[in-house]
Amino acid sequence: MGQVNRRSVLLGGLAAVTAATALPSWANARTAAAVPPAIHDPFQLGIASGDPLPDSVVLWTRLAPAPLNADGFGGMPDATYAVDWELATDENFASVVKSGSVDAVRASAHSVHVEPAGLDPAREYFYRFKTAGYISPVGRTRTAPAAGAAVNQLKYCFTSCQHWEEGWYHSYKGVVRDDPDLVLFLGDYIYEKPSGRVKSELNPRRLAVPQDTTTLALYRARHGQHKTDVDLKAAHALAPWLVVFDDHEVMNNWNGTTSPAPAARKTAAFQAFYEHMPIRSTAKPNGASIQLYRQFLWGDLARFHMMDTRQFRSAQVTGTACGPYRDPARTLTGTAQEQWLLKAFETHPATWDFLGQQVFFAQRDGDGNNTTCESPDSWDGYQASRDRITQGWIDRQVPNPVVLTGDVHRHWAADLRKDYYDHSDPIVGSELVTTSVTSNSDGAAPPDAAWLANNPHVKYCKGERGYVRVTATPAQMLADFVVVSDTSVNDPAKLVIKTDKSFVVNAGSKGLQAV
Amino acid sequence: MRVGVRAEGLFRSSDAHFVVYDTNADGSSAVVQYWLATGAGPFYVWASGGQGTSVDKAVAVPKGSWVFYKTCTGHNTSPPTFAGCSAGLTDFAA
Repeated sequence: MGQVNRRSVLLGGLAAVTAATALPSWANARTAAAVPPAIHDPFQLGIASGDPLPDSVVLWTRLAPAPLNADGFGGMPDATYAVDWELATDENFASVVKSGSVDAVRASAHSVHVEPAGLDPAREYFYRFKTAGYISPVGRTRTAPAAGAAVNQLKYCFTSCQHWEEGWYHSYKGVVRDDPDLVLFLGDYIYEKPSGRVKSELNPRRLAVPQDTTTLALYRARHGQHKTDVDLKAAHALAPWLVVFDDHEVMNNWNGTTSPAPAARKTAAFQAFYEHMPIRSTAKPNGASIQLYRQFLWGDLARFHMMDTRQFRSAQVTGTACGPYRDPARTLTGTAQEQWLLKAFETHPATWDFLGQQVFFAQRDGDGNNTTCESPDSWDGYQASRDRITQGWIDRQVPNPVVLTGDVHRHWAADLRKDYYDHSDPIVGSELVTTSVTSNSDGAAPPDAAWLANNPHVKYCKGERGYVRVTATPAQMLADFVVVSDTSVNDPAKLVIKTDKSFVVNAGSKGLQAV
Repeated sequence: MRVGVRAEGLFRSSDAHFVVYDTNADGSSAVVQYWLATGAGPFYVWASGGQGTSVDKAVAVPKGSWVFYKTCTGHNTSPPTFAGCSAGLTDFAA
């Protein structure tokens, strides 16, 4: 690691010095507390919204004029900045309905979370921030329909797994084109380490700060670089997001124990995650603890259970002997989250019951032998947990349960059973697994005929990058599996974003039907 | 920005140029890696003429925008290889 040359530092600091001296003379007489130092345009990470309720939605930004700085402070001075915000019913802000000011402080990496209340349900709003003489881009968001309100359609997109180095985020061009009401992100928003893919020659970009994210500063810098992607910023500005994490926001395959991720690493990762996501203050971390699982209702049409399948899970098992995989004492969700979910199943406020979560829910058993088990990081590794939730759908007569999944870097569609070895066991729900935005599946062969014969509940698999678009109505749920032709090139002219396969589920009738 | 005493790179804010100096006869080139506000990078400015040579190159950094860069030594192969890099620095086009 080299030294910093004095000449470069002077030159690098020149713009800031010029900006400071451009202030009027009276400004220099004020205290630092009264007038924080002048900064460059701090809205480099864009804006975002999320967690919509019928009367409120989270508005987010972070001040970071130099977002790649390894110290994690994004080029912000050690000072507090007042950030004004506005919420309007029109994109020109002629009709501002809510406004206010919040302090962006160094302890929170100058991130801003605003939760305006008293909004109208099922309404589109526009928002923006102002600070230090700069105005942010404008974001569009919407509130959820009121509980019980008749809703004739909900369109949302969901995706996961966006290793920075492994591709351009073209999926979000498709998301923006689709103009959804909601966007769901199901985990692996960042990766804690550089790409290790075999076909590294296909990686079109690299991390600016490539060290493994073991500190808060490094997690902040990693999130900061991700938020510089123009397509990701556009998708955040388009619609409210529901975000949950998987493992790589902390480290690969972490769990509820302190190995492989000790408490200090979870603490740093959770803090940076909160600082960079449009999530509610109820999710503000307390050390190595974060309250991430939560529910959302979209009128009488849809309910989302957004799950945390990392923080409370038992440690992954090893080997293929099925005993530990089926141990009822082991859990993927933790007891409290499981009881919270099962309690929710007792009410049926909406036609569609979506379980937004991270890891493959349906069984995948390549040899069809029920004495050998595999995939210990997925629900296959926590079969008793899966059984309790599946039985919960059955016992509580949950209408139209659909699991939404990320993690595996391939599109999959599957039906859900209580007993996957009994191929005539009734279907109780369906699972839609999104592929990744960029993270690779190099070397993953498609399932062969023998594999599919052992897993007839699996209807589809596609190893390309993309996302899933869901259009739900009171009568039907349409799932379009969208693929991106190439994430290694940045030229839109060479890009094709198209639907590869579609399935429907008819309300009240279990099982995926190919379109 | 200097790597040991073998390479030096600087960003000239006034006209968005990188100047890269090879300051050592070590068999390696000097190079600046840089990232832009669009999310793209790294891009490279190589000084491959040997010790005592430099390269001055205009880069596409819009006025007011930032560039994050490191100075490295390495070889301009495909893919490029790097013997060492400085810590990064953010600068702004005036």
